[in-house]
Amino acid sequence: MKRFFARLVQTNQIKPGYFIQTYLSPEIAETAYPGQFVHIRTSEMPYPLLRRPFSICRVKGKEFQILFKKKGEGTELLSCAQPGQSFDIIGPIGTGFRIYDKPSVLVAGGMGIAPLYFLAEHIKEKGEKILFFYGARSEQDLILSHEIALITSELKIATEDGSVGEKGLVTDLASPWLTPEYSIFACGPEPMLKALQTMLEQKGLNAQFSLENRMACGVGACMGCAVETDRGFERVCVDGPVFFSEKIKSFPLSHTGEGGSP
Amino acid sequence: MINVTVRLGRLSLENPVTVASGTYGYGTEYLSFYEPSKLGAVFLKGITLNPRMGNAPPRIAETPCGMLNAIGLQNVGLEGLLKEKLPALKDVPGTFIANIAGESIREFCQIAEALNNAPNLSGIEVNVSCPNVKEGGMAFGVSAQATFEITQAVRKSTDLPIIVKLTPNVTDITEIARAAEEGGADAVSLINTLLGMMIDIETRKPVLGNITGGLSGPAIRPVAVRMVSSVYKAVKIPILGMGGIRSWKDAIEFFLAGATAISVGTAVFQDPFAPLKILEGIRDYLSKNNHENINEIIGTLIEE
Repeated sequence: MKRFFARLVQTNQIKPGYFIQTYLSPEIAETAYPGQFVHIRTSEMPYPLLRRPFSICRVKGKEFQILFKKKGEGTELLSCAQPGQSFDIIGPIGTGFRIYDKPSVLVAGGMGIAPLYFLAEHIKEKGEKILFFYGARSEQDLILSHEIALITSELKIATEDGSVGEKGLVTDLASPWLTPEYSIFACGPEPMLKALQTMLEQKGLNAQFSLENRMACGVGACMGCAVETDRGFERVCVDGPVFFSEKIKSFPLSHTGEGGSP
Repeated sequence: MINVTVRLGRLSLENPVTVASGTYGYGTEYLSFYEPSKLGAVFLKGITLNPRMGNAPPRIAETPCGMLNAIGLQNVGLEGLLKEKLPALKDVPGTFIANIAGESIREFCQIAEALNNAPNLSGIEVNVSCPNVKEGGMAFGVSAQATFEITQAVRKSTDLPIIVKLTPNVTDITEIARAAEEGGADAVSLINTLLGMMIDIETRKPVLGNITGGLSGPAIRPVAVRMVSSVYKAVKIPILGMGGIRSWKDAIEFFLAGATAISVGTAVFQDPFAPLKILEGIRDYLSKNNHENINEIIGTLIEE
């Protein structure tokens, strides 16, 4: 992990409030691994003060992409940034997914799609089968579903309002496929991961969860992003963000407003 | 050539820009950015006699021009520092200072004694100002008597230079600073964080798991400058000034107010290279103002 100045190549608003940004940084793009993230300084001013962590969503040549929803001061600034602008970015950071030679089940909820998209591309390259379950509030919140459909024909979607796919929760949709023959990966909001953890526990299965949390340093120094595991409090930034589901004791709370939200 | 070496009592620093305890881990976390020898000193994460789990999350929250934290001194404990963290610094050039927090005077002494002959350590910062722990911490630092007793006891337990870190959450910080001086401190460091709180209006719950936390960052800088200025007039021992410093201009304010050296903390989160930029800016300022030695500007505030 190092600090780089990366040029913003492009910002695409793919749905109202949802953005995909492409940055040019050969160093980050060439070393990034699924599950890792970048820590972006969104302002030269003292406010917003803290960097914002974003999962690496996709890597292509010398460029990498992040996906975000505008919900705080940091993402507001990023969404307005002009192509060509240079950003101070630390990355790639963190312990990513361990990928095994097995067919995989991926369960994404909302913005949890970001690291799992990168993961799916990697698994596809290895030639392993992917079952992708993707849940969102409604059609308006489904991002990248067409792109995922190109990676795997086994994409199943659930929306809470039933506007696309099954009406209901993605965890229920995925449940029958949570079996020992698959490597299981998930990323999503706290209630989804909690529900999934319970299902897995009942079946005696383990999975890899990518967690998000408020973060200050992003390098393992401040202990601000701690999550409770069977080893006490571990740092989401460098001990994670990917943790084995059976080790997680309590999940970081999903953000409800300003004050540390991206 | 501008001379930027400074002395905090018996502790000599090659330059006056240090990084604050709690923001720089155990000295190795930022190694991929630059060598810590470029810094005047690294104040290591505060340690206690026994390892501590720390507080329940959420532990941090961003505030206007600042942040709240309530880590709760999660640390590896004395043994972890001695057996794991300090040995890891063996081949890392730099000046490293331990930060210690006890729940009793006896604990402070036990830790100080054990660190006396520890490798790779140049001094001890005595933390009587952590706002996020129930036992010890700030409870000591708000009392002049307790601060005096702890300082004196630690002084007797170690030959290393000791710096007493003060809390701003008091009526009169000069009284506490004088107590540390009388107790035999080589220097005082100030300010630790200001006790604060933030509420999530949707859930109507405190944002932090610990309910309250310590406020740091640019928002607290004027409070810190005022306190450094007051303490400078009250004690003869040197001051390590800190609180919201993120640029060389901020640092100069502290020197003029009376700080001999400064610490960068929260600004490191925004920019790990901030301390190096600040040092460069300090040199330029000295040069532009025809000073050959940083000591020439310390405490030169004009109050008329």
